[in-house]
Formats: sequence, C-alpha cells, structure tokens
Amino acid sequence: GICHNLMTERGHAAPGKLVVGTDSHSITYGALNCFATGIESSELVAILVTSRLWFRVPETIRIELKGTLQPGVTAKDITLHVIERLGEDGIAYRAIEYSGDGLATLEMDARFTLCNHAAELGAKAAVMPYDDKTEAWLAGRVRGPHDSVSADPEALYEKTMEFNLSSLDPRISLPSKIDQVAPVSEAGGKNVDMAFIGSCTNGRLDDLETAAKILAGKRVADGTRLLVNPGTRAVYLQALEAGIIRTLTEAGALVLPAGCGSCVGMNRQYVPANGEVILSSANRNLQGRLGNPNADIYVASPATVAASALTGRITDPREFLTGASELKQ
Amino acid sequence: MKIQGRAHLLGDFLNTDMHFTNKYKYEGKGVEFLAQHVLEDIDPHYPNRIQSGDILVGGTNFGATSTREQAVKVMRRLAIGAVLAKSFSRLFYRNALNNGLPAFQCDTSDIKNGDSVEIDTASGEIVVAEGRQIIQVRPLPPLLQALVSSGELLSFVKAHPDWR
Repeated sequence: GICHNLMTERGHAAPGKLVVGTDSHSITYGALNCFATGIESSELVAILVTSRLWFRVPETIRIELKGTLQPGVTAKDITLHVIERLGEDGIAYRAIEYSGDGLATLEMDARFTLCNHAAELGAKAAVMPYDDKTEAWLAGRVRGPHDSVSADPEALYEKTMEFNLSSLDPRISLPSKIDQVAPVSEAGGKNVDMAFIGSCTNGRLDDLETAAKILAGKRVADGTRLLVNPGTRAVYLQALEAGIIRTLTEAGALVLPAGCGSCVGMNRQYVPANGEVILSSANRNLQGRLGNPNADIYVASPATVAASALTGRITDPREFLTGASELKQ
Repeated sequence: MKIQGRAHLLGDFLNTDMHFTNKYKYEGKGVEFLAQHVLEDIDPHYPNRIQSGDILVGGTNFGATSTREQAVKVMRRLAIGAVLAKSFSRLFYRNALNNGLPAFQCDTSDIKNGDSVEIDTASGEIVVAEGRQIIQVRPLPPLLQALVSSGELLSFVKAHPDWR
C-alpha cells in the first residue's frame, strides 16, 4: 500500500513525535498530533547513522475550523477551499496548527486528508490536536509510550485564519495548477474519460465508502473508466468485508491493488490517451502526471469523482448525497 | 567567515526547474553539463552572465517546486557565493545548507543588480553596495555554520557523528 497510509495505519506516527519521510506528503501524519515533514534521501541516511537531524523551526499559522460539513461536502473540499484562498505554496515553510470545534467533528480519515493536502501549500508540517478520535485511532496500533502535545495558551502565531465548514461547497481544481479552484457546480458539464479514486490524499475507507454510496445499484457511464486504488491492503480487505468492493465492481469500476496507482501514473496499463479528461481524487494536477502530457487533469473529492463517473460529466455530488445520514461515518 | 560577491538578481517565482533547465532533468546529465546550460530557457546567453562568486538575489519562495539537490549542486559548480531571498521553499533551503550553499532570508527589495554584497556569517551582518544598505539577519547557529562550511551533509555527519 501507500507508504503514508501505512505509516499512520501501523502506528509508526504517534503523538508528540518528530516523524520524517522521504516524500512531501509525509506531512499527513501530523493528524496524529505529531510534527511530520518530508526530507531528502541523504538526510534520511544521516538519521539512520545518527538518529538526529537539524531543523529550522518554522513560524506557525493557525487555521481554525468552525461549523460542520454539509452533505456531499468532504475534507477534500476543505483542502481545496484552503488552497484556493491561500494559493499553491501559500503557507511556504510554515507549520500549520489546525484547531476549532469544526475539526472535532471530523473523523481521522478526513483529518489525514486535510494534513496530507497541506503539502501543496508548501507547509513544513500540519499539526492537529489530540482528542478522543485520535485516541481511538491509535488504540492497538502504537507500541511504546507517547505523550500528546498541545499549544501553550500564550503561543504566538504568525497569523490565524478561520474557515466555516458549514458554508463550504464541493470544489474542483482545474488543469494544471492545484490552486486554480472553482465550485464543482460551475465547472460541471465537462465530459470525463477517466475517473480515479485513491492516493494518500483520498484512498481511505471513508473515501471508498462514499463512492460506494453514490454508485450502489447504478452503473458508471459509458465512455468513462473509473479506477479505484485502495490506499492499503488492510483498507482493501476492510472494503471487501463491507461489500464496498462488490458494489464498486458491479457498478463497473476497475478496482486495482492497493497502492499509489493512477495518482502518479503508476497504473501503466491505464495511461490516459491524447485529449482525454481525467478527474482524480489525488493531490496534484500538473500536466503529464498520469503519464500523458496531452491529457487534462482535474482534482476533486472522491464524492465528486464518483458522481462524475456515474454521469460521465463533472458533477456536483450533492445531487446524489442529500441527507446527512448518507455520509454517516 | 566573510562571503563577498556581486549581486545577481533573479525575480520572484523563479523555481529551480526554470533556473537549471528542466529539459535536461531526466537525461541524467552531470552537474558540469547543467552548469553550462543554466537558465537558458529564459535567456540563451545566461550561462555566460553568471560569474564565479556571484551572490544570487531572489524574491519570495525561492527554489519552489524543486525537490532536487541538482539545482544547488549546479549553483555550487558555478561557485555562487550565497543566496539571499525574501523567503525560501523549505526543500531548497535544506538542500542549500546540506550542500554547502549559504542561504539567508532577508528583505532583498533594495538590492540592485551588480551591487557588491559582503556577508559576515558569524554576526549575520550583510553590507550592500559598500554601506548604502546594511541588513541584519539572524546568524546560523555555529553547528549549522560548520555544516555549510563542510560542503556536504554526509561528509559532515561522518566527521561529526554526534553532531558536535
């Protein structure tokens, strides 16, 4: 499976720790109340030899989340709103500290998505508080002692920003810059040739669950290929147990082995053809990322991807997810 | 340690892919070759305009979108003395310090192309144009000054496995 998803699944990241990985999306683990960041291979060698590394302590920007997500709006839509507002690399070399009542309403899968996509803001780390959801996630996964961390009351922030989750709508990132974001409702109508659900941003159980809810008993549109790469083997098996893989398969989705897959063009047998439009649940839409520079990549939530795979065109998922019960975790 | 050189201005939004010729990135070309083609996508004559000892002066988020050490290695091959910028991308900053390229964050708005720049790495004082402007930056801790002087992270770690 995907390294970042395994790091958090298998208890390698724990509260209060300093965790690094040789990829920018190592920032994901901050959802578990630790400081997690990406480093270079040579730096990893230095750590293997000495167990230490130097760091410049970044300034911190506090992002406060209020309210609750409305039906059809997901953590990925939060990240796209943030990226739209701040721009790609808009928080370059800062640490983000997430907080707020809105954050408390988000399950761990959603929190991993939020921290993961902070990489595209250029952030050094994205730290979340420790609460009962963090504790529940860690139970049975982490060995050894760990101490949660929280901000000092007198901590200084470079800036504090607020996002009201209740007012957010599904968003989509247009080719080929991640901060070219528009409401899905305004970008709708474009034919989708290839739809992808997966990646370290959105390859978790809740993402597959959401897609299954939208596709249950229905068929992916003719002319649209829906590829699904569960993030890890454990998620794949859980999805199998829960009937999600069956639902997706019966709907015509191509369910592939756990891994990065089409996020970064690793499904070599499914490279898009010239002129095709791809809608991906991953984190980046740079030209050529899926293996063909002559194909445009849009990025959105798994809900938007599933809804669009169903109709064959970019579609607002709220057409299919109208009640809060449908997004029950 | 004192670093002296001529200010060579690059603009905002320049990232190291553009700096150091993205088109050769995947061909496995060596640092020598890349140094000869530096910034040629912007100006074919650019490789001839950077002089040994120059101090590169950039804007915000200098080094953005490049995760590769090649850019820094090419700058070192060109004997660039240091890089000054209003802000750095986190990866570029680390690559710089890990590969012997001094990098300092400061307000570079008033530095003009061709100005003499003298950096005292111990005190953090930067003298521009023989005193027309004095910029004070926070000096690197002695450990990191030693790291930068060593020229390479892993050489430093071999020589100082306890980071002292």
